[in-house]
Amino acid sequence: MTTPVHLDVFDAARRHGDATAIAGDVPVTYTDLIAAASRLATRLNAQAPPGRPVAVLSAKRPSTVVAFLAVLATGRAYLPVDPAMPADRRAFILRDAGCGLVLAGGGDDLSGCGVPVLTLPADPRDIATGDRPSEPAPIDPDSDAYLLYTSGSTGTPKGVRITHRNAAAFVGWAAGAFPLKPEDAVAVHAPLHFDLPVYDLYAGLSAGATLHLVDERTALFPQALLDFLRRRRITALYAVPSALTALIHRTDLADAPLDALRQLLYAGEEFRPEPLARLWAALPNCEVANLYGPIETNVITSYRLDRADLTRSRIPIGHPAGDVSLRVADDGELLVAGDCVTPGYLNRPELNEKAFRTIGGRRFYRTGDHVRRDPDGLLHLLGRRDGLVKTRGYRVELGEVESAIGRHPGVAEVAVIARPDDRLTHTLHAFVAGREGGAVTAGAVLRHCREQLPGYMVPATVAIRSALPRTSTGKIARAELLGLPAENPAEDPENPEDPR
Amino acid sequence: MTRTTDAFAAATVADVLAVDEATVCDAATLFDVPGYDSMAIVTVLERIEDHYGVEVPPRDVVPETFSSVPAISALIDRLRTDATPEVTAS
Repeated sequence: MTTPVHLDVFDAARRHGDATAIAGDVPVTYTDLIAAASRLATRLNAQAPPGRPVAVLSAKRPSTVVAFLAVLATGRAYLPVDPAMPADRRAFILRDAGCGLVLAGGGDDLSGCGVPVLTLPADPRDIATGDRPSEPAPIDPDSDAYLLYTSGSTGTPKGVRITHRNAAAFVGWAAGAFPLKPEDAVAVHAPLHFDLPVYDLYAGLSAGATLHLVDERTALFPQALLDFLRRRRITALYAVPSALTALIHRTDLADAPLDALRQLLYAGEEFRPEPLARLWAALPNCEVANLYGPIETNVITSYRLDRADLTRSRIPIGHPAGDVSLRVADDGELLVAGDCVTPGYLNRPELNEKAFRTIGGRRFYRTGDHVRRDPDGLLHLLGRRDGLVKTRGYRVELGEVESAIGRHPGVAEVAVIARPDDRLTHTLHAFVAGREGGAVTAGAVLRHCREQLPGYMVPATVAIRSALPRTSTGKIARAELLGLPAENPAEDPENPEDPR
Repeated sequence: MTRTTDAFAAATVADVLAVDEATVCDAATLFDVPGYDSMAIVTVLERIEDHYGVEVPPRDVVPETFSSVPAISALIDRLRTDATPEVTAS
């Protein structure tokens, strides 16, 4: 395998010490970044239980990047935690992963998380100032580098283990296929508990480029994001299509093209050709590529677009990335083997049994996606297996949302369906039947969801029914629910349609 | 800012988030209220446009404008002043 990803960053820092690693009000140089990570590693070795993962509350701030590098430098794995995650879910994840310590910022509320917290100052130069720097620990390539939690169909999120070998395989391929240079201004747009920014962070920092962290609030407003991309003269952006499509609505993008942007990568969901064409028209100097792969493998295929591809009805997912082995099973399911493939889920032997298939002595991950190969050898995505949908670039098991709603004491029955949506890929809609004698309201179910689930899994609408429709075999008639009109989240009779 | 736009802003945000108005009015920033995400913001924005018959320009669809009830209320007042003489409230 190639070098562990963080050691490439430590190396780059020797070559680019005075360059800016992370831009911002107080720019962080490569020297500052590595010095802070090396001091924090010493502190972690003293305070964090050996061999156990360290959680990092992954707000978009320089100290998060320092924390990732420091944890890796100690030989431990990090678990990035969405700062907006509901407290119960966060506590579950920390317990499930066996985290021994949480790293957070000054203003973060971690009450009830059940794990000791180490608070980091905002400026990396103030981190662990009393500690001497440590050298990075030797790395076993098959030990975990980081853990990413994703939606699980049985009602609890599942932790995906990514080893140093996995991470190095992805970053090594990506840095070769889509190289970054010291003069690049790389936007870190996707949330840091997601797999997209692995490219931004490690390919970007090992190239000596400058990272520009897009804070959570800016990412919420397309016009604010656009202003950020312009002001920072961003040259490389990797984001999900929902976020990119938002850039063409209610913004002044048409008034002034983004001429500095030279590379746009997208992944996570399908980008329909019409909105992509409108966006690309405002990016005169930009190459565009579609990257595809589940969180268990990171990227496994890629496709560099030509403007002529915009006349296709769907954009292909392309060709295998690097040396991954792809197989198309008899039923069309895409299977993948290679260094990028996770060794499995944490603490879920039953899921691991189903997720992998051994063919000819090699272990293949079952993507659950159905594909076809065209005469030119290009792969095209056809669809996903039941129950797993994409919304805003995230994948959601509908069963997990149903399970969360079912835990509300007033709910007797629930079905969650996904409706295709032009801008968000899918929107989620819950249909709920209340318990007899109870008076469960849509608002109460929504508030309950927000306490249990991350924002992208909270349904856009909740409809209360006296009973859910059944098929002749007694199952909930999902097809019928799909045809039913959505109701307004707050049951406002004046606004019967879900506005968007 | 007028009382009516304040009340409308508070009622609309509370309704979209399915929380009571006090939660919305007491929040130091609406970004701390669970559910105040991109979909909720667009919903609030479209309800303002429908109710007051105004169009919120891209320049105003930024965090500062949607951070609190008074900020949203101020936006509405500004848009109504900028709009031509009589604006019909639905």
